[in-house]
Amino acid sequence: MRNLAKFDLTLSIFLAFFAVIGIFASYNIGLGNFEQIGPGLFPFLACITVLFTSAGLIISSFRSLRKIINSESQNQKNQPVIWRRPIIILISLAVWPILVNLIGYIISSFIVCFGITKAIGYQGLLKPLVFCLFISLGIWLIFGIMFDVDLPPGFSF
Amino acid sequence: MTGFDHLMHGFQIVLTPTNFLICFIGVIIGTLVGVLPGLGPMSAMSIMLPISVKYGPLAGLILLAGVWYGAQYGGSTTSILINVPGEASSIITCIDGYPMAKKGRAGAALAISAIGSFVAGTAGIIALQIFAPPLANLALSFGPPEYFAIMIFAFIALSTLIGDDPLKGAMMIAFGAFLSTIGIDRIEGIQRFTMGIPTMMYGISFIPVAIGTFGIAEIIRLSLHPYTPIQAKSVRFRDLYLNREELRRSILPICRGSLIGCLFGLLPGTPAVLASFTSYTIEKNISPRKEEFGHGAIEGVAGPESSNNSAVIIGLIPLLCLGIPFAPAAAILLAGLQMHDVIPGPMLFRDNPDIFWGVVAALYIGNFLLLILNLPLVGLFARVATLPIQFMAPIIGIICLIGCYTIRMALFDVWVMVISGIIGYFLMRLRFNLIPLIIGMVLGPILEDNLRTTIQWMNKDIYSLFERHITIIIFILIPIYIIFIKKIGKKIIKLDIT
Repeated sequence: MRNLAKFDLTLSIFLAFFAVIGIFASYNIGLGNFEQIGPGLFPFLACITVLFTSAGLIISSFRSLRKIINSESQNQKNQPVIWRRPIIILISLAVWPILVNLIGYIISSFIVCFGITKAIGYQGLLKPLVFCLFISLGIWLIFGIMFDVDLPPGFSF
Repeated sequence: MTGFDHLMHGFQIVLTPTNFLICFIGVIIGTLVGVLPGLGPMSAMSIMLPISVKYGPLAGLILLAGVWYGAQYGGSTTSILINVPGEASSIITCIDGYPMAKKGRAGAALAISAIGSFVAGTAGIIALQIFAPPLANLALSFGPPEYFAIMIFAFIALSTLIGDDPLKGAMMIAFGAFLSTIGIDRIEGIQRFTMGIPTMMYGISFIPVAIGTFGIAEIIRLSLHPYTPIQAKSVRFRDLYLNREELRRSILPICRGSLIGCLFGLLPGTPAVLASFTSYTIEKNISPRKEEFGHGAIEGVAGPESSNNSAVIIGLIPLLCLGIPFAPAAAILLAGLQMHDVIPGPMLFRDNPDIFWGVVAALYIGNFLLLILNLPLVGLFARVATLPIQFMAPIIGIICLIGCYTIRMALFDVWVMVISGIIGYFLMRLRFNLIPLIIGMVLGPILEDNLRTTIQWMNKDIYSLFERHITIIIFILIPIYIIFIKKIGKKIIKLDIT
């Protein structure tokens, strides 16, 4: 709970800062007047709302931090968290937009599939490779043949 | 033509081989999506969106709507058999559905879930059929001030109904509305917040943000902990029967659930989730067998599962009659219609009545298909739900990538999806509900257009604004609603789980 309040406070401060920048940027775009509404008016109002709600959340986070007793967190069950996995998954996902125009969607999907499969914890090499091959073929059949979606072929064909 | 004639005409349109097949595919995909945790109806609908474009506006809408309400059927299967909700609106079904399964009454729970969903879905369709046309007629008199007032009300309702802190909800909505302004201003053609990046001129679409925050964030969440194999209670088709006592106890909860769903379906955000929670709370509070709740009370399954289905159907009313999507999934339907240059709203009934009545007929057919498919295939769906994460995560990831790319054939959207996934995961950990962010992005442009027009009207004749009674009534309802939520609403909606 203590960490939650701290994160709320951090995020609120960040968003408040962001809102201030947005307010100035919107003002520079132009708020217009009653006769001619400027394109900056609506984002200006949106940023004002973000600023006020952030301020409210900052105040409530400070209050929460004062009230929270440290012993709350000791009752929480600790589940092991494997941060390496999502990092590998995100890298794998990022590979797709980088390579898809070059090597095509089938091979890119194969690479992404393999990266995610290994990141999740699929043991071995042959079985994940075969699995990813079938998935890639399935993607080709569904999107390329059945639905005839125009995806970058690269040098796959 | 009377309403009945229109409906018969709708059936004529839908009962063609192509449209019927599309309806069938939609509900099957929807059920599978509901069964699989990780791939919610929003992500699935986003991915189906570019595919649905090929088949015309009616078929596209049938496909997407089928996925949306089919997911409500599928979500209950895993809630009951595995104690893992496949869909957010089925969370509450775990409380009594899974204990019923542990007692050997899984078949009864599944049967009543399917029957309740069918009855409530039918009630919702009838309500849609009856109320949508007159509401659309009324909406013909709406102008920008009325739409502006409705959306302000929707935003306030959304921030108070979703999540545990209205401030967080309001912040997310406003932030989403700001994100919707990035790109080129539709009226003056000026670039806003593009930072000189050419691809930013096209703006940030809400669909990649939605796929990222719900699909990719879920994959990240599932990958963080070691995989634990899931055991599902096995159910045979001949076990799917209710005894007389269970059937008798379910009738009124199904009726109440249907009504609750019809009322909550008009609310913005996640009406199906709100309806199911409210239904459960009401059933528990009025039941003479309160002690059974949490240990396998059939009312705790019948009511919520009925309410979430009727809520989804009624959720189509604001979209079809006003052209305002109150739920993220409805926003995807709006995007689908816009791709066909069909503008939902009051003019839909005049210019494209076939679309409305075709959708109504398809809802009847799809509802029936779901009833007859879900019960015999429940074993298959349960096995799908127990597929290991090693199989599901890569498939979901790739489908998200390709689906995101095909929206505008832009790699920029894929990057937005990946970044949204990372941010979305951390926001979820901080208990920031992301639905308001998506709704803010969807309704932001509509709100801005109506705000600008309203201000220009005020400039010409401010007193004419006071003659717009509907606008005034809506603005008066806002503080009344806030007081209601503060004093009474929390007591009704508060869930007491012991």
